[in-house]
Amino acid sequence: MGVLVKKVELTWWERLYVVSVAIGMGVTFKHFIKQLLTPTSKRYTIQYPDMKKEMPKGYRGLHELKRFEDGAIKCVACFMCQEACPARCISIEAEEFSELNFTQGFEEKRPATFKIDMLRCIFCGMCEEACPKDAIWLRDNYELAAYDRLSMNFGKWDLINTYAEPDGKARLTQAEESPMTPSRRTVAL
Amino acid sequence: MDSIAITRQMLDGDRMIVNMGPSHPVTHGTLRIVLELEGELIMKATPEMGYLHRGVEKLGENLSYNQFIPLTDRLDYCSSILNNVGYAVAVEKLLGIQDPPRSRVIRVMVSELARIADHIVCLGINAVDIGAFTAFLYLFKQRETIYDLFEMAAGQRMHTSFTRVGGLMRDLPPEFLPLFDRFMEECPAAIDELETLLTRNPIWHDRTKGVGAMSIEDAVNWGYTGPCLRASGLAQDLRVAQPYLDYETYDFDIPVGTTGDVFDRYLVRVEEMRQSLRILAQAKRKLAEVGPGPVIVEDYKIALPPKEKVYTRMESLIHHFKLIMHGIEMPVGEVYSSTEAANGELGFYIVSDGGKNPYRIRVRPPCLPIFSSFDEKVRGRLIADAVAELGAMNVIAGELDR
Ligand code: SF4
Ligand code: SF4
Repeated sequence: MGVLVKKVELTWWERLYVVSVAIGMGVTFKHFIKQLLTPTSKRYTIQYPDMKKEMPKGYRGLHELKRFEDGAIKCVACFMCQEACPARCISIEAEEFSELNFTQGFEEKRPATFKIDMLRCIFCGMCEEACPKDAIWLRDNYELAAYDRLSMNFGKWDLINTYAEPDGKARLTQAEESPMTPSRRTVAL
Repeated sequence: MDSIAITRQMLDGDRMIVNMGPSHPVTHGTLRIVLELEGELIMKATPEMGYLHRGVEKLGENLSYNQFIPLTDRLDYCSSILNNVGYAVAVEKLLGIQDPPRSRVIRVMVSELARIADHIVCLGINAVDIGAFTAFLYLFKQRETIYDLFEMAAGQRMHTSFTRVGGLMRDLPPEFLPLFDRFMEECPAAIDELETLLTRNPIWHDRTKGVGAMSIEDAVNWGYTGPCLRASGLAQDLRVAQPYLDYETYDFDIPVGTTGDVFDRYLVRVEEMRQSLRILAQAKRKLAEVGPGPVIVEDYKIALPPKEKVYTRMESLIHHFKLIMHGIEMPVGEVYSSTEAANGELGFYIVSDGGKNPYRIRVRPPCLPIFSSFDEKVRGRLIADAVAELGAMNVIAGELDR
């Protein structure tokens, strides 16, 4: 482990401003030519929104609530994500349900409401880490915008449908009769 | 500290009062400096901070030890992984544990990447402030690659939250190393280019030489650390002085300057980027030596068990619930741990009363002592020098105000 003493003194030659200006222009020109010869797709600048960056696997973007094959929500309203959230932006209300089916045979709890306030969320991914049921995960959508605050308050149905292809399954529509609570049938349609 | 309100006496005098900031291009954050001018000369500069105060330390008292990690991202947001690592090292010191070898190597890797990214921002922006726009443009490509690497490793570019108490949030993905290799090839050339543009440029010399010079004694008395202290000539680096994360096994040099002016700080930062690249090359070799393995301690009282176990085994599920609901079982005590962040010594002082949340967290930001000497440095100089000085101090408001 050594110590490097850094010192730079200019020679009279370098003191002539013209020289360093010429060198600087040379660098600029080199980049200019290089940039002209690089196709747009290979440049560092991404022409958003015409071009979009491909997000790597494991990117922490907008959440999705996962579902089973039959469409039932995986979440069992255990409140772990709510507890683990450093921004305190998840609020869950649980409800009981007892209709049995294949995938949720023994479960007796599910969320009646599941809200995430996306304006408070810091996309830290701690909810995903805390979930013992593999029911919530953060995916690659980072384009979150809305005209008012209320629409950034994502409810359970928004969170199930945040992605066009959730787990490769078709989108869910909310049952007609009750606007906020899901239907009592296990297989939501 | 003097009042920052504009007094009648100040108004009656010949001096002109100019507010630099709170939102001014050179302040890089919200930072207000009240300048008293006589012509172009600065007679007095009174900094006012607190515009970006978010109460991080107080918030920490209401969050568990792991939940505080996302808040450390927002201290020095140009190199958030360094803060994550610094905090994790502090909590591990309090717990008296060590993270697994693979995690230590990865931590060193991402730390050095973050250091390079931070220096790129600091040098690039400083050059832009002074008027050399070109250097900034070409160097920032490298920062882009670093952020892509972070995005792969941690899942986000700026607010990484990569560490956890006892290790890392996850292992490096397989795509990481190929891009890392490309970065290692391209970065030295980009740094050379920066040096071609600036190091021997007489205009850059005229603007930076002698600005904000400081002797070693003064620098130490002000509490300087990091590149600003080393620019004065003292070879002090916490990675060498009190090694953490096995830094003693890496071979690197400490660059020092001679006068401590803006130019010397520039030279020191450029050389530190080169040394970081050296460390990165060694770390990559080490990563291959260590081989695959856990990246977080396998003590389920401290770190969450792996997900497969949580889904299938009762005992792991219980640990999982217990850890999230009741937090880590902390020993009662207090600890001060400091790491070498890009700006200097980043310290965390944690008092634990054994509960889920820390009793008190105090952050020692490296740029607060450095910034407090601002008045002394710019007194009697031109406004343009203040701009150069502020950039070279690398004052990050998020860290300054906390
Ligand atoms: S990503 Fe973080 S802040 Fe957002 S809901 Fe999950 S735990 Fe809360
Ligand atoms: S999303 Fe997961 S952690 Fe949150 S309540 Fe549902 S099951 Fe529990």
